[in-house]
Parts: sequence; structure tokens; C-alpha cells
Amino acid sequence: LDAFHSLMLGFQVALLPHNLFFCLLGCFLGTLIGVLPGIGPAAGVTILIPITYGLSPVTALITMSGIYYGATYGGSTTSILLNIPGEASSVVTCLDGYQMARKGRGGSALGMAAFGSFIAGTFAIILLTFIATPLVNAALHFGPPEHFALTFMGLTMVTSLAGDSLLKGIISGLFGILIACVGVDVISGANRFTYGQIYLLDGFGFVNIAVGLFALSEVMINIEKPTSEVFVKFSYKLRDLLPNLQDWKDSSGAIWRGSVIGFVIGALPGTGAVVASFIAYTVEKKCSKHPEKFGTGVIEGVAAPESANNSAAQAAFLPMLTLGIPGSAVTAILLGALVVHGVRPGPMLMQTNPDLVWGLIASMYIGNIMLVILNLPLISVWVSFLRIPYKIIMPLIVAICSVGIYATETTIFDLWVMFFFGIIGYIFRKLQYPLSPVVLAAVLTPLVENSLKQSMIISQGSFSIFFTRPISAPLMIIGLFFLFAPFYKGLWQKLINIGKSDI
Amino acid sequence: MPRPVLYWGCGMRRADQVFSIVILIFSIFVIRESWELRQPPIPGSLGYEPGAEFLPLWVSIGMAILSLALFISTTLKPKESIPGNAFPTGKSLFSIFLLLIVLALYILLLDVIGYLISTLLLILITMRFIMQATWKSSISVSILTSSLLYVVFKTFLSVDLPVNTFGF
Repeated sequence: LDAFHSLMLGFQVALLPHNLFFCLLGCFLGTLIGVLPGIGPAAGVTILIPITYGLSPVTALITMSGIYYGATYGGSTTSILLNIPGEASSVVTCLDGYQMARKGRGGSALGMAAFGSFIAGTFAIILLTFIATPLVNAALHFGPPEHFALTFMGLTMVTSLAGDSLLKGIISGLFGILIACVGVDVISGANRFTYGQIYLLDGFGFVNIAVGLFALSEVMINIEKPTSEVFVKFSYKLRDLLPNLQDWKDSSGAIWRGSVIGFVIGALPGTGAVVASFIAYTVEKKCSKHPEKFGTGVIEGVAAPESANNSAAQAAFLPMLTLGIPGSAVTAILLGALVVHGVRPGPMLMQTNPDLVWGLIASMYIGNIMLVILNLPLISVWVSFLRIPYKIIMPLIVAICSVGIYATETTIFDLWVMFFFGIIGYIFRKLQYPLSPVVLAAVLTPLVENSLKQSMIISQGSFSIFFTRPISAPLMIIGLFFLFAPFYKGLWQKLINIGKSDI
Repeated sequence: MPRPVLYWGCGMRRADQVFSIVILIFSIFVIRESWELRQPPIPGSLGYEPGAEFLPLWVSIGMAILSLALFISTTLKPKESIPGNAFPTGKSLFSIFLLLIVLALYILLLDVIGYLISTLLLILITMRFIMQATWKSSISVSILTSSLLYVVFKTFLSVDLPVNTFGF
């Protein structure tokens, strides 16, 4: 009942006309980013941070979140029609989706992807609504040692699960911590690594780092590929997009399993929509009475991963909103954007800014409905967007990023920071150093360092405090386990590979 | 017609080795710089809390060890186990360098020639010479989008965009 009351408060915020408009705008841009291959949700969200700077925190968050979960909706379109995944989370959808399109059943595949996404997204957001409050109540009893242990665990999980190499993942995470150390140390007041630059007293600036790492480097990756024009013949009517009764019968199990798998995987730090879609597909194949037909165009093969990736994208907000621990690059960027807006993340967030947390949650209910409407009747519009060539999109992104970065603080120095991190991001991507630990560590380090120092004062300088308290001890052990247990990573990789080997 | 992508000899394995050494040198530099940050405990405090140097020092020590481990493990692996090339070459590499040069010039000149001209040139040059669009579409898109961005930032977000001595 408590959750219901809070949700009503949230709807009062989310239904304000300007919030509705920005929710629609976010969903619209998200679908566009989802449809266009080559531009991921992380880049899409970062490009928009400077533009949402003038908005209130809750409106900005509603817009940016809409981009994130909207992108997982749109990702399936090109997977099904062209065999080109619009997002990494829709890679598995290609397998059966494209085969269905070749057999002339592309309409049903597109329709089932949209409905499955809607059901799974709504399922995840309902669970989120009811789990959030108890989770926050538990976290409110946390002291500095528990905070430190929790953040430590979140960081090590993301670090160890991101990318293929454990060593490269940890190096990325450590690099993120060092970036965050630049500037005035809040506790001792010492200037760290500022070298007399007044612009560096506040650090590099989160937005500058994120835009460089995610948006600028993405443009660099895109321009090195040979450009090819995409031609799509799209001839589906709205009626063709509605799945028939048999389709629903075949997919209902897949949608529910996908929703549950997606929620669990999405809520855990370090894994997200991509892994969820792979695992849901694998599970569906194992459960199926006719596993040999997977890959030839069965509708369960579309419904399962598309449900799972949406459920996961929305579940990712659970640890971010309740504990202040983002589990993926995009939620880390959203959290960093909140800090830019002067909002302090953590378990207190729900008490200090209930309108923000519940307004966002309520807007996600609305956003899910908007996305189904945007994706089904308007699908031919999205397909026509594919005709906008990359020749126009890429230069535009560079210009929007540059002007946006200049606009946030109106200093040229920030542009150089973006430039510098763009090059770093490009090298990291090329050498397969994962970027999510960098941005996650950069966001979390100020909080971690604070709780570390407070804990040290409580314990009079002894590290044993983290291992002797009932909540922090298991969290620390889980964190260390992830860091020092490559076999766990191997197990995880095996799970994903089972999914991949079927391709 | 697709552009040809040419590669030179910098394989993934060699690039991994070189970059791990770069990280090692960077970490050693940070270790030295962090060591300099040590301060006597603040008068009146009990000296239990770690100082400003604590986090960067230990993190950079960890990074140094891990980058060394990465270098060794990459070197021990057989050459065939890390196939592929790290970076593009030929036209693709040229495109990336050109983008960086154009962007650097943009940042340098933004204050001097003002927002409108520099952003127009940024989009125009990137479209025409990096993305190989036609002159006609490059000119029209750059004029249209740079003025659209001007309206969004100047009018809607009321940001003071840089102007040149002539005031635009």
C-alpha cells in the first residue's frame, strides 16, 4: 500500500504536461537511436546530457531514461528486417527474426517484439515499484562501512563481468578511480593532480568525460567503417503487425520466462540487457519441444530475447535508484548526470527526492505505453529514418557534442577534456578495454572514498571493520570473490557462449 | 562503392603489449605524484583517516602490477592466439586523424571566429572531406544544422555562445 501511495505521487509528477512531453521526446529519440545501427544508448544518453542541463532534475532524468529503454525497443527493427542488430541487445533477435522476415512473417515478428517488450517492461516496472521501498528501508540502516562494502561489491562485479579479459576490466576500473581523484580532495582539502589549472579544481567534469568516452569515440569507430547505404523495402500494414492467436500461444511462455530472466539479470550489477537476451534465448531453446527449429524462424526466438532485454533495461534502475549503485554504463551515466544536477544518489535519495524517484518510475509506465504506440503504427516512419545517411548523422553528433559541452560551463577547457577522453575512449574500444568500469568508477569514487575515510575514523584506522560487521562482511567477501575468482568469469562466459554457439 | 580498408602490420598482440607498457609508465608516474601528496596529519585530528594520497597511491600501485601482468600474459601467449589488427590504416586512419585535426582547430578557433562560422565549418569539412558527401548536401546541411543548434542553445537554453569581433 505504501508503494501504491508513492506511485500515485509519482504519477502526479509524471503526468505534468511538460514531463509527458519530455517522456515522449525521450522515447522518440530512444527508438531512433535503437533503430540506427552504430549508435548505442550510452552515446545517445550522453549526447543529451548538456541539452537537458537547463531542465529540472526529474524532467532531465525522465528524458534520458526514456532514451535508454526506448533504444532496447527500437533495436529489434533492423534485426528483423535487415539482419543488422540496431543495438547489441538485439543481436540474438536476428537469428529467428530475420528468418521470419524472409518467410514473409516479418510483420508478426515485429509485432511480437513490440508486445513482448511492452509486457516484459511493464512486468519489470511493477516489480521495481514494489521492491524499491523495502530495499531502501533495509539500506537506510547502513553505516559508512556498509556503504563502502556495497559500492566495492558493485564495482568489482561490473569490472569482472565487463569485457572478455579480467585484467583489462580491472585496469579500466582503476583508471576510472584515478580520473575521479583529480581535483580538490574534499576531506583533506589537498589539490590532487591539478598542476595549477584552476579548471581542474572540480575535476575533469563528468559530462566532459562521458561525452568523450562514449559519444566522440563512437563517431570515430563509425567513420572508419566503409559507408554503405541501407535500402529497405517496407510493405507491412498495421494489420500484418498483429500476431495471430497461434503466435500468442507459442510466445506466451517465452515472454514470461524472458521477463523473469531479464529482471534478475538486469537488477544485478555488471550484467544487463545484452547478457539477458542471450541467456533468455538459450533457456527458451532448452525448454522448447522443438529446439531444432530455433534459427529457422520461430516466434519464441524473437519473443524471448526481446522480452528479456526490455525487462533487464528497466530492472537496471532498481539498484541505481535504491542503493545508488549503477549496474551498467548507461545507468552510471544517468547517475553521473544526476550528480551534475546537484542530486546526491544513495539510499537517502528516495526520502530526499521522492518526486524524482517516483516520478521517474511512474514515467516508465507511461513510456512503455508510448513505445508500443510509437513502434507499431509508426514503424514505417522509423524504417524511413534508416535512409538518413551516416554522412549527415556523424558530423552532426560531433557538432552537438561540442556545442553541448561548451554550453554546460561555457569554457573552452572542457572541450579539450572531451577531445582527450574521446581519443582514450577510441583506444580503449579498439584494444577491448571495457568502458563501463571506467565510467562507473568515475561516478562512484567520490562516494567510496568518503565512506572509506569515515569508516577508518570509526575503526581508528583498522581495515578489519569491513570484515567484522554482519552486513559489510558478506558484501566484501562477494566483492573479493568476483575480483579474485576468474573461474566465475569462466562460468559466466560459458553460459553466454552456449547462447553464442547456437548462432 | 565501399571504401577500401587497408591494414598495416600492427597486430592486436603487439598493440596489447605496447599499450600495457604505456599503462605501466602512466601508473609509475601516478605513484610518484601521489607520493608527493603525503601531508602531516591535520592538527587536532587523530590521524586515523587516510590522507589525500591514500586512494591514488594504492590504485596506481595496483594498476602498475596488473599492467605488468597483462604484458607478461600477452607475451607468453602464442602469436596465433591473438589474431586480428588493432587499428585501421590507409583511408580509415586518415579519416580519424582528419576528424581529430578538424575538431582541435574548432576548439582553438571557437573563441576567435565565433560560434556560427566555426560550427558551420566543422560540419561542412567533416561532411565533405571525411564522410565524402557532395558539396551541395554538405553546404546545405551545415548551414541548416548549425543555425538550428544556434536557435536551440542560444534561444531555448539561453547559453552565451562565443562571438567574434564582429559580434556573430
